[in-house]
Amino acid sequence: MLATQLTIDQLASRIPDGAKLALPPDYAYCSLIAARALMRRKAKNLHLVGVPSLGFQADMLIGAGCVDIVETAAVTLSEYGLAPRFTAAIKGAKIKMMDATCPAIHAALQASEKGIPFIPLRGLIGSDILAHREDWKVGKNPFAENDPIVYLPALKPDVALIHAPVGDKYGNVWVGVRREQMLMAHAASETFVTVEEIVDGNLMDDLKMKAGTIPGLYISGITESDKGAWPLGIPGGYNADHEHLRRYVDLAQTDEGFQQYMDEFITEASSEAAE
Amino acid sequence: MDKIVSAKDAIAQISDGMTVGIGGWGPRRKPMALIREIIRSDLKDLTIVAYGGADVGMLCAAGKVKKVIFAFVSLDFIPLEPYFRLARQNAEIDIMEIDEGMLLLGLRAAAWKIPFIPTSVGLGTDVIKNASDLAIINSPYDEKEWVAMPALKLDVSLVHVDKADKRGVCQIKGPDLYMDDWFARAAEMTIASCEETVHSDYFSGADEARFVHWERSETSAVVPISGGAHPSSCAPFYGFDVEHFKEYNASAKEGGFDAYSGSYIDGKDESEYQEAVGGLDAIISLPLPVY
Repeated sequence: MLATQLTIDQLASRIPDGAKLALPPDYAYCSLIAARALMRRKAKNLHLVGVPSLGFQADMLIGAGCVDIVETAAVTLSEYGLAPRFTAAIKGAKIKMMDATCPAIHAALQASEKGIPFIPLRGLIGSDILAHREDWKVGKNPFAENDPIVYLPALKPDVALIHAPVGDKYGNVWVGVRREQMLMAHAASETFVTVEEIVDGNLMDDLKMKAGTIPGLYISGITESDKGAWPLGIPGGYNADHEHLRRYVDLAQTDEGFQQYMDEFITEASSEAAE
Repeated sequence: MDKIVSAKDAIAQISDGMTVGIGGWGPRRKPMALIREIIRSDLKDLTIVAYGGADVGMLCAAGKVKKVIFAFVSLDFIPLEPYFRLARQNAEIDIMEIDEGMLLLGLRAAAWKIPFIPTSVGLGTDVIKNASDLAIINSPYDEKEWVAMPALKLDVSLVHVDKADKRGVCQIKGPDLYMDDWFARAAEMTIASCEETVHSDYFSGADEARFVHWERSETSAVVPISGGAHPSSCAPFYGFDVEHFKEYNASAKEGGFDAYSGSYIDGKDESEYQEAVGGLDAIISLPLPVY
């Protein structure tokens, strides 16, 4: 079956306000072009899920007022330091934070992948993370005495939004070793993807590609987006635009600076919007 | 680091009473040379976890087994493994009989170091009634009952692979790796027999590395034995030995395992075994089954 091919603004319109939206970390394949389209359509009340952490993509969405809840193991701009719009939103109590850990996010998505209500996970009892997660219950190990363990509830995103180097017209999407993107697609109700290139043929016919390929049946819509991760890079493709990221971090320190960045790169005036 | 050892030295690391996982599937890619080495040893009271074939049957017949945790024990074209059948009929072994998927969940739980994984698999079936090791639990997130499939923690796993290097990097190019990767991760130590050892450079390119299915740190010992899966298969190199399996099957009705073992295993080393079954060239020429 052929995949649904969308323009970038059509893709953004298919992600509803209030959606629980799973995003990959900056070091995987992030669709910044889709994030900009969400900001242009003034998406609201999003519940971001970092798989397992968030960075520039989330900071921009938070700065643009698209986000109510952030559920993640970390928000970081790595060598660029703290995420300034996230930090301002937390200090101003504009967003709700649901702290998690990397293994907890992955395990909770795996529970959704399996269709089970929870999965046990070690290592959280005694931490403040658990103290602040009233939705995470502690249960018994039925096979041992006095061995409490967290019954981590399944985490089911409404939408997973990912980027990838290559897709085909059947919606098969190659993510290679970025297995968290496969997990996201399995766990979420819908997955939208932007790809650098839609190639001829079927990726599932290529022995070298198919083990790293998300089958098209998980993909609700696909958009061909050359340099769709920019200003981030993609592993094995192009490098991050460090000059641009530096500029973003400098501007995003203030509300006015972030607005200037939005005006310059994201709103109606941008070339993406004109497409 | 050099993990290459003899079969005898590898098996010497196993102790009485241990829980031993065995990779492969029915008559396919079983570490049979390692199994024969256990039969030649003094080991006893083992708990075996396997998608079983002649590996399980032979260990039962040789009196090495206390309990078998299994989803099936079969030689495919011989549906019931003959010596496993005898061990069951004579009530010689304890068992935990579960579904194939439950066995996989148990291996995963052990690999992830969690005590169990909830599943709906098995609810309403006699699997639950008969397997006292399983528990039925309530979820705090819904009103349903769930099966808690316990972690199947393995002291040691035995697998057979195509190629390996001395660091423990293992390659399987057959059409199915079965659950060997989860056996390796669920075990404290994994002994891998291999058709061939290669230099580590062999794995440097993506063409070969993509057939490496688990981390080399999971492999504790590498035992080079060409033909080491015989009489099971090692696709794409050789198929299982139908004639040998027929003879093995017949021995359960007439002669018994002592006679079979006397002909092929007891008092013979692996090269003598291979001579007795027709030689290594004959083993590696066995045709793959056509379906």
